Amino acid sequence: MVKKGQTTLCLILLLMAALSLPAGAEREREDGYYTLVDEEGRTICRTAHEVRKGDQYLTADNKLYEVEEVKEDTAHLKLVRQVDLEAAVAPSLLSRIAETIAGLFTREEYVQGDNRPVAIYHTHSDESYVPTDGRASIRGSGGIIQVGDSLAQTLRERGVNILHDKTPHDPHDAMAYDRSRRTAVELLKKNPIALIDLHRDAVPADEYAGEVNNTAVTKAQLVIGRQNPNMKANEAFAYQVKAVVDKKYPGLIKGIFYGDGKYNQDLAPRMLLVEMGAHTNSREEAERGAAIFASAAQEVLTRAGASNRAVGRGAASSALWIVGLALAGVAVYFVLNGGLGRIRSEAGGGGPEAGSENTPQGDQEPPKEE
Amino acid sequence: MSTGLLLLIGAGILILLGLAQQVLDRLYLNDKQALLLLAAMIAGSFIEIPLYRGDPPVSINLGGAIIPLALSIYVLYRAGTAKETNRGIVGALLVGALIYGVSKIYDFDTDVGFIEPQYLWGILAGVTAYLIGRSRRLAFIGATIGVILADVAHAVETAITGRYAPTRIGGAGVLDTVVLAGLIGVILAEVIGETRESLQGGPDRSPERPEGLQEPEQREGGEEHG
Repeated sequence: MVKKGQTTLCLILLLMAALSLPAGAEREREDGYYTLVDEEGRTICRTAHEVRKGDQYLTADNKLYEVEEVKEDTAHLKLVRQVDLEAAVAPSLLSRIAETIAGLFTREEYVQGDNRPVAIYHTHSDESYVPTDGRASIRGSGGIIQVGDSLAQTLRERGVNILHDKTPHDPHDAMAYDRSRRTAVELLKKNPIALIDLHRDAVPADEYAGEVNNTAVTKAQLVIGRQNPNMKANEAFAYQVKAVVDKKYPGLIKGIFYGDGKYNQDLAPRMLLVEMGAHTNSREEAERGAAIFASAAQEVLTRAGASNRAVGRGAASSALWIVGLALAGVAVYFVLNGGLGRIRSEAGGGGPEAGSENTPQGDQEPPKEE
Repeated sequence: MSTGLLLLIGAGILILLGLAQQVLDRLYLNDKQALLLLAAMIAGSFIEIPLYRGDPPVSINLGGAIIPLALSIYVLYRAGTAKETNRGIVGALLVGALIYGVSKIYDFDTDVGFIEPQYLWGILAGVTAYLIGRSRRLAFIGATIGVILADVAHAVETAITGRYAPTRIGGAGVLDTVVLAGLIGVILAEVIGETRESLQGGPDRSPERPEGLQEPEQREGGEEHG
């Protein structure tokens, strides 16, 4: 048993470590913005959030950048690669053959998803737009809900079945995603074809300011959680959405951000986290942006057949990663449990000379704790 | 549905079930009981029991909260000594307070934060349980009751502030944070325990094992099993 004093000391240390988490965590800056610049010194984007080495960002023109160095207020980016969204989401030769064969036996309605609903919910239901709503956060029902209404209405007008869940998940704390997970699972029970968690960002207004047909709108940003076993499948779906929207309104999706979390995207492959504008933009602009985004993305959002293959490939790659990591985990666990020694002694057990060294089975078991 | 998606779902389910079965194995359950309990939790995920129908409403999910809670209480009840039971109760209260407190000060959003909170709660429970009692069972009790307590605190908080925000304890069923934190907690306590043992030369399995190398809890563990 651990001595009392030792336990208390450990607990105090643990509490201190827990309390120091936010200090070490990446926080929103209150004293200015980070400017992300590429190798030639061109500004790629600005953000109010802390930036770290290794962070990734896919720009509107599909350049994937990684932060190489952060010096004061400037983050220096390195171009990782130019992502070819079309190629990334195009079906492979093998899946095209499979699709042709499946097409002989499957009716078109089945491929189109039989009018399954598109579900919309808001983890941060308080998020609002300062110029129109007066505050950045309104508990219970923020401006983001009306932006969700606009997204829903556009799809509804096009004959899409919509589930718009307006459950508040307040307060806006670190358990908000734990609470919205319950809403997301509830929605998943209704077998939606896609699930959208609609947010707004917290950056300067010009980062999201855009224009479509001479009308001011906000742009959108997609977010993918990196700490998510489903990440590759979610990424494939996000790529699909961006590829389709890019064709109609280039630049409307200002980029794809890779965040350090999972944002409940582990629940299903066709889950999309969308940031529609920032708190500094007006809500009307965000509503118009959401409507245009919905009209452009409808094809991918509402047809399972349209993105199944790309998402499926992403899912296969996720599955391989999961199995690989699980195997690695088992291997580590096995080694920690003295597995190698046991293998050796058991393998040696068959040999005449090693037999005498064998200890009784009971002694080889690691002692059970408590 | 594509083959890739089927593979992903299959691998995910197999690994989750495998892990859950391993974890339940450490909670006084044999394989058959563990599988039955898992089946009950999955079926129970679809049953939501209202606790308070007023404003804001509070409900509890059978598979996501009641069954894990019942299992925690059973494990506490099965504990060999009163001391172990007390340690379990204190641990659960502490983890609950820790999760609630950290959730208020840990700034997490799409582009803020360094770790998914759902993982963090399991880690807090696993580490706390290990420090208090070096126990996997305590990690399970701490994580499940801890997350439930944090939800209860949320219900109280919304009632006091008078703002409508429903509390659905364990509402995501078998996929809820209550269950995942429990799994992560036990696995972490197990990994910390095994790593520590291994780093300290591992459990010496030779018959000449010197008494000084024995961990105190090994001797205690033996007694508690008896």
